[in-house]
Amino acid sequence: MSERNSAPDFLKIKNAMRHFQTPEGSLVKALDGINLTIAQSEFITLLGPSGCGKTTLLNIIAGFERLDSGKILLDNSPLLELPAHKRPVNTVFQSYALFPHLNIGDNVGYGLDIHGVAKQERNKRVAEALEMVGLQGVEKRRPTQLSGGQQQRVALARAIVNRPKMLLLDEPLSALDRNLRMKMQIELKNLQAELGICFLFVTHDQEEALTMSDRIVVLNGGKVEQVGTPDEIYHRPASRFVSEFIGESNIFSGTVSRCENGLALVNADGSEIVCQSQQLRVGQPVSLLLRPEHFQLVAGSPASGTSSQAMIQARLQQSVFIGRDHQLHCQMANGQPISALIRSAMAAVQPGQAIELHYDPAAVHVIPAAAQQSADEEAA
Amino acid sequence: MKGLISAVTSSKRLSKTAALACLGLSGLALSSTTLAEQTLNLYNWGDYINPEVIERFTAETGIKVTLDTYSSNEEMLAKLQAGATGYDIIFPSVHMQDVMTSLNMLEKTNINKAPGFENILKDHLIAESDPKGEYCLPYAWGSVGIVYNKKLVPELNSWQEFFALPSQGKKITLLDDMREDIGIGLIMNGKNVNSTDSQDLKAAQQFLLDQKPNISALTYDTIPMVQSGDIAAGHYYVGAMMYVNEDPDTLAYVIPKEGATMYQEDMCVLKSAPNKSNARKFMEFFLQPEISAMNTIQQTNGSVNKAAISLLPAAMRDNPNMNPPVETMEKLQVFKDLGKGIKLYDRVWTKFRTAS
Amino acid sequence: MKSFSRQQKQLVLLLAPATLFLGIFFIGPLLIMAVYSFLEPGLYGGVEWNFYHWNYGRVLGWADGFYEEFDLVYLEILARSAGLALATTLLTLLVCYPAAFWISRMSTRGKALCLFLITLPFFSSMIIRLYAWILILRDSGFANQILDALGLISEPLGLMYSSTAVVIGMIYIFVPFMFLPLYSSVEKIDGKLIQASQDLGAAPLTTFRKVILPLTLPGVIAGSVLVFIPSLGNFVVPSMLGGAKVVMIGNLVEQQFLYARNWPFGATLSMLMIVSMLVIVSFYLFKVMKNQPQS
Repeated sequence: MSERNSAPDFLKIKNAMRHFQTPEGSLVKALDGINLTIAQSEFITLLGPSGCGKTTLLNIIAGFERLDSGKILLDNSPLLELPAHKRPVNTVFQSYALFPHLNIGDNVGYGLDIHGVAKQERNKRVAEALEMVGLQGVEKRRPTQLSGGQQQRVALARAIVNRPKMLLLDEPLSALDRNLRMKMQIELKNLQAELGICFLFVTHDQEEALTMSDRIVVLNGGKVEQVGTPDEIYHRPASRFVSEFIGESNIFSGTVSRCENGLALVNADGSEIVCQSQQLRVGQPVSLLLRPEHFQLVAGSPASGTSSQAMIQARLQQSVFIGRDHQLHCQMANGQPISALIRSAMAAVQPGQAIELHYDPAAVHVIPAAAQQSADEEAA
Repeated sequence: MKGLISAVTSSKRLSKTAALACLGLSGLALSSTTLAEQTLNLYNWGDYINPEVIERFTAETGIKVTLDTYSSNEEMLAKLQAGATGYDIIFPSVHMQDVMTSLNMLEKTNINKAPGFENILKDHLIAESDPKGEYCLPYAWGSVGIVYNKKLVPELNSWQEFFALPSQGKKITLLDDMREDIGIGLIMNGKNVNSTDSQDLKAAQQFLLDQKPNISALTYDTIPMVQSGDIAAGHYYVGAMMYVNEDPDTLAYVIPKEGATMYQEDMCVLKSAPNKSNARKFMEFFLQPEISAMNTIQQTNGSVNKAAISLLPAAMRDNPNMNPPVETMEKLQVFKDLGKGIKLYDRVWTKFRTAS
Repeated sequence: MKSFSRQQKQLVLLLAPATLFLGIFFIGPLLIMAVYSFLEPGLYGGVEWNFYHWNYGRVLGWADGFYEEFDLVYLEILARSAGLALATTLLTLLVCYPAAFWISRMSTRGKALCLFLITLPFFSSMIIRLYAWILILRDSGFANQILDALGLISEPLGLMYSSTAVVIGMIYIFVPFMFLPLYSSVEKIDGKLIQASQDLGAAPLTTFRKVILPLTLPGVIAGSVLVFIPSLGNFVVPSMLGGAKVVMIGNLVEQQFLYARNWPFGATLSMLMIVSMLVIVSFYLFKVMKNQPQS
């Protein structure tokens, strides 16, 4: 697998629409005008809650479902005209879908057998694929004789042995336990780098998405909420939905009360939040995002702070030890809950105690209003 | 293995169980120990007695009658040999009566001493083992001829004409019965229907094989198929007269002029009968001409009781197919037991059935 | 004695009734039949307790023509019965396979209705249902009337008392026996496996051959065995719809017991039928076992 110059528009999805009729007769938009461009050797993740359309999109690319309208080009040729068995893509299924009547060698060699690859070549490639996923010499075993993780690797080997132009992975790690899952995440990422082909990974697990992806496509209600690198998605979510779906978030809604020196003061239900922004105008309604890890804890004396200092006064309700950090569950004066992640060494506070949570105004992310509105509409 | 050997040595008991198992028949063991109630257990062919006769008997004597049925002599014999007990009266065909006599299964009843026996036609005391009627009471008889659809075949008098029908595009059926069908083959060659001469049987087999392509079916479902016109004519019992009388414009029954077979069943008491005196009462009851006539009218077959014949309605009494004149009677042959000769018949039958 | 655990004892107790039942009512009669097949026929039915191998000789070819006559006709009948049974099996399979797929894709309600309809014939006697077929197939019957009314035929098709009628009747009788096991294995197929096969490049027919057929094979085998065995012994359908013109092994056995009074020969024919069936069935079972995942 030589790595060619990575084409930036390897897979192009144009205005993809797909509707479903529910048993009650109402129409559900599974895909509502999806536009997406994926590069040739990208690890891209479709992320979203169940029912967001991510699996539908994957099934459409694989050829298991049809599109109502829209276009998909793979490597500049139309994909939708091809039946599933003629598409140069392969899928790793959530349930692995290993053929129970075939041994591991025949499972992995299935695609090669279909394409009439000569026996010697076929056996060599099967062994290579199995080696690549870290399973050697299991050709003669039955799928049921392997553990879940091993079956997962076989499913992976079965897909990559055919050298597809693109690999589709439908929540392949969801059935594994946490440790194995994390190990497989790394391995998948390495495998993708090694093969240099596009991996389209579907998951509802945001941590998984952040760990592995070059880019993440956040889907909600059949629409693309945001496309970006894990860093962009995490730190600069394009909508309230994204910010809430990815990681833990503290969101403050209010109106801009003052702007000066590139700083804006937002009044959120009685408490004031400072953020760095050039665009905000006084009186503008706005939502602000502060991640829990952006807080620093100053215990006790409210008198010590000045108004210029960016901080939030709150009362600690519960402190949970989670290893390196403590997670603090606090409540602001207006009753809004706040979550903060503090180094354990610094977290010597008692529940009931008044605390100050300091933050850097530069860390405060202003959620774009338009996206926020549309997200609210979706929620309604 | 030990079990098997001991089973082999106690042959008598085993043969009973085995026959049951082999035949898949449900062994019947009626209780003979009901003391309080007077009972009589009949084992008869299906639909071969007027139910009113039984009702009248129970009304007059208070004896409760049960009726089980069989569909062939061999089935009845096989069941009794397999150990079915509790039956009092059976109705074997005369050749089976001879078999059962030789197997010592029948009770000597001296029914010929009973009042009314003088009405029994001597021509019908035909069982070779019982020429005087000391054992069994002749019950009923009938010819086996042809029933045909008058709309398709205006007139039919002979086997010759019957077997010629297929060449006119008309369908025929024979009974699904070894002795009857081979019997036709023998009759058509002028032979006795009880011949065990291999040449006679060869000729009969050839006749049947020649007819095989023209025969639509071997069946007992003849009447509805002839009535609907799906079959033009079919080999059938005189019992067809019951339907002929209901639908005389469509159906007719004839005894072919080349001759035919006849059957006769006699009423016999088993040696193993638990209610012998009740059985005797039933036989005496049946000797009454009006009871015998009642049965014949419902069965539309032949009567063996001359006093009963005089009681029949004119249409039956004067019908040459039901109450044939002497010259026709002479052409009717009755089956006898074939002994080992049955093997020859079995082979002819298998050949005939296998031929295409 | 001590070596039996409590659980083992319980197992023995639980299995005892079934074992006894099978032993007495299945193995026992079979043994009796095996013994009878080597005995001399009694003159009026039953057996004479003398060893007698001519029964087999009659069928298999060593009868000398003195005591008994060898006749190829019996092997012919056996082969013909096997042929009809095989045809019935294949045709019911052909009818049931697509039907099972179609029904397995239905809504729960549709499935329940279809399964009910398929088992419905079991509620009435086979003889009565075959009489209904006589009414349909005979020249003046419904089939010809309808075709005539539609102007498709000018004279009756002559279906009744033909091998077509026999095949129709056999399929009709045995479809439920094929359908139910087939359906249960079709319904178990994970749709993802079919997708996976397509995904790996298999065209629909290849997917059928390489995935669907092997996975439904247990159902196919079970259904085939359930249809083949009783249809091999069936003589009611050939008698009623075929006009008894063709002898099946079942007719022949019945004939030996009830008319020819030759129980040992009937037992011999049954034994030969059972042995050939056992050979066929165990061959198939062996093949299935080899291809099945151990679970």
